[in-house]
Amino acid sequence: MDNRTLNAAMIEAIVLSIIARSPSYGYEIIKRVGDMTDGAIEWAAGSLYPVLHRMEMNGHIESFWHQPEGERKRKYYRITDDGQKALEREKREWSTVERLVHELWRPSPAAD
Amino acid sequence: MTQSPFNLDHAIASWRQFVVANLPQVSPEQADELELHIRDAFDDFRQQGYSDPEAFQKARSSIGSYDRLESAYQDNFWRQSARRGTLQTEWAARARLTLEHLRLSLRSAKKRPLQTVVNMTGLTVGLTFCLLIGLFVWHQSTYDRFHDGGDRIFRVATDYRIDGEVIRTARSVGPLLPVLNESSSPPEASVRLSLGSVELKRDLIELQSDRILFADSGFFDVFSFPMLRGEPDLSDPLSIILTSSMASRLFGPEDPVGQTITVDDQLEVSIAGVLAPLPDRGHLQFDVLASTRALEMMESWIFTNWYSFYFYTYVKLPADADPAVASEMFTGIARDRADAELIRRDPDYAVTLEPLHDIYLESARISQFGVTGNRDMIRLFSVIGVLILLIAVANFVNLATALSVGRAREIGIRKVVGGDRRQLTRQFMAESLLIVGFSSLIALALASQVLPVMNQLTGIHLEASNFRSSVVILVLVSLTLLTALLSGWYPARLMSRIPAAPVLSGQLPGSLSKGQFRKVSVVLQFCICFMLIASTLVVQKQLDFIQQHDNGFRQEGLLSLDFSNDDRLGSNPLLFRERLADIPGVSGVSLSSAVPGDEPLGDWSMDFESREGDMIHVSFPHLLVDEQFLDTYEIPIVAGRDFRDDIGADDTRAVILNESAVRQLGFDQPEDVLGMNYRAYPDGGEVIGVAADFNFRSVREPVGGIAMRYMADRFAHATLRVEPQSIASIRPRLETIWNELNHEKAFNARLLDDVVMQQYEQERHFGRFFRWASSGAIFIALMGLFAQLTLALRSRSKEVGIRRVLGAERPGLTLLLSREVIFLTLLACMAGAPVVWWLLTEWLLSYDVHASVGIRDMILAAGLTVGVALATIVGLTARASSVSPADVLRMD
Repeated sequence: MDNRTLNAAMIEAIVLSIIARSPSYGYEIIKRVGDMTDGAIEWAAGSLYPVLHRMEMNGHIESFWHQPEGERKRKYYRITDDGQKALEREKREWSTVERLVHELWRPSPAAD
Repeated sequence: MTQSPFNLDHAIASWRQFVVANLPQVSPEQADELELHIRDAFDDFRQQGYSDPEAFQKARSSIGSYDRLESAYQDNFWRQSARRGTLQTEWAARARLTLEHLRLSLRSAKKRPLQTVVNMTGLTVGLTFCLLIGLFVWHQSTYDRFHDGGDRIFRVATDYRIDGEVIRTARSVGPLLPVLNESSSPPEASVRLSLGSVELKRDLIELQSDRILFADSGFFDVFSFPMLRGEPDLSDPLSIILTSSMASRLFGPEDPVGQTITVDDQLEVSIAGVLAPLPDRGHLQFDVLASTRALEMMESWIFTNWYSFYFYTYVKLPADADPAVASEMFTGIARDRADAELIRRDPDYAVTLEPLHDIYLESARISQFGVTGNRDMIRLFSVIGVLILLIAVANFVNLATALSVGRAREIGIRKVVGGDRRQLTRQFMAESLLIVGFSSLIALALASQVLPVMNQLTGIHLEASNFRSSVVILVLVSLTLLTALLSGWYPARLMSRIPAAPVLSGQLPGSLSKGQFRKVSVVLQFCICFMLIASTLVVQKQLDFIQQHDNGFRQEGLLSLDFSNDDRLGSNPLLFRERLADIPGVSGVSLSSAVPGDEPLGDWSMDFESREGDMIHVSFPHLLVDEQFLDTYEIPIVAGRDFRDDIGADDTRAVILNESAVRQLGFDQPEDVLGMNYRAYPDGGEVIGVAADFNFRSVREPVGGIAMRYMADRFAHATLRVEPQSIASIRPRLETIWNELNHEKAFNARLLDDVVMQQYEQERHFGRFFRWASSGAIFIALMGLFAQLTLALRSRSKEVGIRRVLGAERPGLTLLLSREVIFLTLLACMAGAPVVWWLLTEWLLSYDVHASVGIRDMILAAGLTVGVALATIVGLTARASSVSPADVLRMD
């Protein structure tokens, strides 16, 4: 995606959404987003990890080291109660924007 | 090179080392996380079918640029530090980082000692030159800055006409100042100055000075000359003020104030005070200060005479005054109040205000007070200094680039693990800063040591302590930073464009060996060298020309003795002449008031009466001679006769003019002026003869009109015609007679050749300066060429090696490698030729007689320039070709 501002605005909301479903690690989060958008959104690790750390400092997520069987030990993140509340807030705000945008960009019956 | 198999752990370890060294904001745990990310990504890319190295590179890239990482992690670092209060860690990390850069710089410098030294030497030499030249230019450009309100101080100069020719003199007439002071808006302060010579005596100490300054009492209101002792009082005609050096010579450690000394064996004056040592950067230099009232007692007519320019007048304008307006007003007043006859004859008579700060360097007027600077020389020095600096910096940048090539592999590897352009730039700049900083310090030390030589070159006395001024330090630091910046930025920019893989396999990027920048800088440098060499040749040519030029009299074989201000010899010069003529080997002796090459002759006002009865008013320099003068100097008489000692009227009344004077009077034929009557100090007389023109002054000026009269009491020089081979044997006899008859002046026989040539000190300085500048520029350019060739050789070392293996001979190799350099050098010479030709011709035209710039000079200069370049090539290729071809090929 080319719009960096939009990207920066969305990143925390998306991360919270993914982590809310199940705890995850950085590389997996990036892959998930890439797959879901057919490669349209490819986050660089250098963009994501500092955000994760910031969110951890703010108390929205917490980290833990975990080694699934037959795999590497990785640093996982899970959502906190504060994180949940933050996510709910984000959802409300995004829905408002989505409604507005959906309304504005709907093809109009009258010709321009 | 056989590539070792890719090892992921090694690659990751290298990457981690880099992160630790360059990104102190990333904590170990965060680095762990990034490492894991790389490993995961690596696995994915392997699965997609990429090779190990490729997969690793892609995985590394997926982290993003180091710049972004740095700024992203920086923010978090600040937040955390702020929370935990660990801000010191940040600065400690930065310090560590800087030290790491410097450590790496030192290491790479140590690995290539020869090249580092070469690089530093060129730059050091360039910086030294710049420091010396800069100091000189600063010194010359800041004269007279120590006076309070100096920007309001002006010298009142005069523009007047003689026979249609406008004369711009620095002087003014005596009655002008009082008239200006009576105007409706007079200057805030004003003073008239007049220079004279005096003999001071105290007990047994006798001192001669040509620099007694008579000044009005407003002297200390205009100028800022602090007193060491006594009062700044110039109201008493019978008291004087001494400079501190004069005071210590006459009085030693005693306090002179209130004591008396004898002046000119006649007058007793008291010492009113002692001045602090005069700053050397001031155009007013003198030994003794006296009141103009004393001068008025001796020669009162100069204070009321509108025709004689005896004074230098200075005014200090009020703060709100406009100098242009004041100038016009003063001109109006002068025309109003001056002698009516003067203004009738010269309605354009004007006075001009010259700013004090411009006098030393900018004033182009005649009759200057003391020595003035040479603005053209300053400009020239400045330009050359800048050019030399440019060469040195350009070379340094080139050499830094060349050195980088040797580290291409190191950089290649760093690129693979992600060294960004900014990181590279910082690394290179750190290295440059180290080298440039070091060079600057050495240059400073070197400049201080070389300063005495420089003083000899320029005739100016500069102090090494000047280097400690804050301006100098500031300029040096700025230069250092600028050079470091430039020489860090360019190689980094170039190198960061190297694709990683080809570099690892030993290939060098084409863009490096063919650099446009490199070629341009070689051409530029050799162009400058060529121009300097050509200038050196032409300046020397002009000097030789001047020496050989026919001055209108036979110069060789003339010895000159100066007995000015000597009472005993001065009172009976004819006796002196007799004694000298008796010496075997001396074929002629003449007495005169001055000799060619000596100080300029004074202009005397003369009125000639034409046959129709008209008065022609002129002003001719006066040369007072005896009847032997023209014979001794072998100057032909073209009309009339020479002075004769048996004709009483010849004494002070007869005058002999030169051909130029005749023309100036408006006559074509010398015979036309014979018998003309004239009036001049002390009385007048008639024209008895005309002599051929001869160069009394420097060939920079045209031969002007000269009037020669016989006045025994003004004789101050004796000129002897001798056989050149007898000079050595005559000297001792001369010295004996001198000591017998002379009062206290030291024996000072000089060849007239030398006296004449002393006028050309400036040209000699020019010549010496150009030789030095050329040598410096060539040296620096050579260093640069060394770099270019090293670069070229490296990139073609394989080519050279293969050719040797195939049996090529050394000359062939030399030719191959030198083709480009010779072409560039010749191009440089061709580019520089028209420019330097024009510049040199302009300079030569400032002389009335001069040599000319020729094709041969250009060819010679070009030949020398190319020769220098060739010598370097031969030397280097000899070294390169002697390396065994097998070694070179094995590098693969």
